[in-house]
Amino acid sequence: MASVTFQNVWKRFGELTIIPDLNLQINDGEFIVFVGPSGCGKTTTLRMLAGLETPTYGKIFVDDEDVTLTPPGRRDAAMVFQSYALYPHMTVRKNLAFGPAIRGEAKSDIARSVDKVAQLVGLDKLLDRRPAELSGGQRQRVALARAMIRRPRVFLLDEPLSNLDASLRTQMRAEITQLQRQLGVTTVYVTHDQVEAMTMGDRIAVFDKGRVLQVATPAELYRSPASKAVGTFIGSPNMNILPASLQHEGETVRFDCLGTSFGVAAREFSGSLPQVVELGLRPDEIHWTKDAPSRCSEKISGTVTAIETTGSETFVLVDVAGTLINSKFPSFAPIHLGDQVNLVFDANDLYFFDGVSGVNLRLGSKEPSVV
Amino acid sequence: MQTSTELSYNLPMDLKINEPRTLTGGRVISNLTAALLAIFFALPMVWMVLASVDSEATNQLNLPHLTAAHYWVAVQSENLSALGNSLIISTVATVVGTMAAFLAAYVLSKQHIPFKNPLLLTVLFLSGVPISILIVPIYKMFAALGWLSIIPTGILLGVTALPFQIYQLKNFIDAIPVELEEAAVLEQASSFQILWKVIFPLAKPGLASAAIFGFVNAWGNFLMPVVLINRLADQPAPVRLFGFMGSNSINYGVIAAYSIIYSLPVIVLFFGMSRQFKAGFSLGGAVK
Repeated sequence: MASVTFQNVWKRFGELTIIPDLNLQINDGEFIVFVGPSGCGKTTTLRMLAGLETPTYGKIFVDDEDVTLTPPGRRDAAMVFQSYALYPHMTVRKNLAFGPAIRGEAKSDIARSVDKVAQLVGLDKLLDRRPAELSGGQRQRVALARAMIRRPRVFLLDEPLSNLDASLRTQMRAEITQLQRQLGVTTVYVTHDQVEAMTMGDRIAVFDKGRVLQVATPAELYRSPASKAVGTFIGSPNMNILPASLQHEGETVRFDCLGTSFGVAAREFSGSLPQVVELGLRPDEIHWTKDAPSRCSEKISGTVTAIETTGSETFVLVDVAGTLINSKFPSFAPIHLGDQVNLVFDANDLYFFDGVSGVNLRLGSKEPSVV
Repeated sequence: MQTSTELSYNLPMDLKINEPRTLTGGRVISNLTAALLAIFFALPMVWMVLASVDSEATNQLNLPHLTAAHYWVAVQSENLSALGNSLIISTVATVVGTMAAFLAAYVLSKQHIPFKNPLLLTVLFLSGVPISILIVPIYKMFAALGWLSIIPTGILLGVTALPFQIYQLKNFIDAIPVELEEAAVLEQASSFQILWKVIFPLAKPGLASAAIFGFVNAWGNFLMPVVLINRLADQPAPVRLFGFMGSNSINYGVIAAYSIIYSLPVIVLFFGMSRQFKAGFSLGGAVK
């Protein structure tokens, strides 16, 4: 078990900067998820921690030890690859025993730890099969077991579930989280799937274009995203972004948004407000008038342009004065394409973003503050 | 009592089974062409088999007057020792060439080395250059170094197969995912351990075909041994075969019999290695 620190880490491939100045602290025993769109540098960061890439500048510490230039084998990091990287010519048993055998452990110790780890992930009946004779989920377990056979200081997982089908993914998600809690090993988990990130991580680091936008618990990330980019990335379906204009009226700020108007106490906002703001509103916080909580007072209306039913809920895309707004309707609501619908929301559910930089202007509590 | 879980169908008895036409003009022509070519290439071998057991063998295709005398001549000790020499030369060539090609192919496939592409292009070009055109300077060098004997000739024949073997093996090693090596690196495996425990087992089918190429390349070579080996007793089978053609008479029967014996090891080798080929390039389950 160990803590990990990235200190001013840069990674450049030739002239291309993948990671500009990364600073990140991972706590001992923590399950941290790196999440972000593909090509955002999350896998590169993981590979630098594993030692498979060398940072161009900066330092990486595991506990207080500088491992920046330590060869991968001596970092005591175990990794699960996206492709699993199982040795196809070896049986499951040999795959699991490969590392211990390389490190020269005694045969009887190896046999014991293979049996133990196989039991842990439910592979005990498959030890004499080869990877080609296993299903995707079973291969996934072998890859996990191979990484867990020793107690590494850090456990690295690079999109381990992306090759599995949807139902198996949900199951493995729970299993991996449970295993990590059991073992208590510091874990870094890379994924592009924000559902995986939200359900698995103690904390989540949101990556974009090589930068960490925010590091927070899933709840913090959802309730108070640091910026528009984080807000729209976390949550499914995506947060709606509404255009708005504002006027200062003494102690309150008055917003005009898609034909409705409301005031917010100026003290709610940190610092002075910019000229251009955008409002964020999650689809489940904008309601159909026929199915709305009474606190929702702001009303907008538009035309239905698309309907997506999942069974338990229906998401309806509504064109409000040229802005497409995704809104959660009750399942099988009696609406049709082209219908005029009225939507309502509570201004307390809004996020306020700087129209230029995207910074969240109202960080912290989300107590009712509309005046 | 057994319960049948099989569903019962009512087959449509009144309908004809759909069968595509198999006898078409195109098929007839292409099969006839193939058969003609096959006969053309089979004739020399038929001659070889018939002449080897014919006491009055000529260069014509005749019904044989059966005899085993030619085989008796062919297995005389000096003829057998020529086959032994061939075996030594080919084994040395195979081991030297395949091992060197394996290491070179791994480096060219997986490691960062400067001027990799020009180097590979050069290797590709060299694989097309027959070594025979260099025979004079090579003879000079071997003579000066006192190497005009069987083992150095074997090594040189192994080297002549290298460029092609490198390409053959590089294609195999290219297909081995780099994650397998990275996974091994994270387990503290050294470069040699990775090469031996991960790359080597996965490159086996490639190694088998490279080894066969190396063996056959050396087994069939006539010019190198005849020029580069001083002692007559060290000469391999192809040179011996040439010896059966005297200046005033050619012993066709013995040539045929000896040729058959000479081709046996290669046939055995192919059958022996065929299991490796059939096992195929099995990366199943490695990635994804």
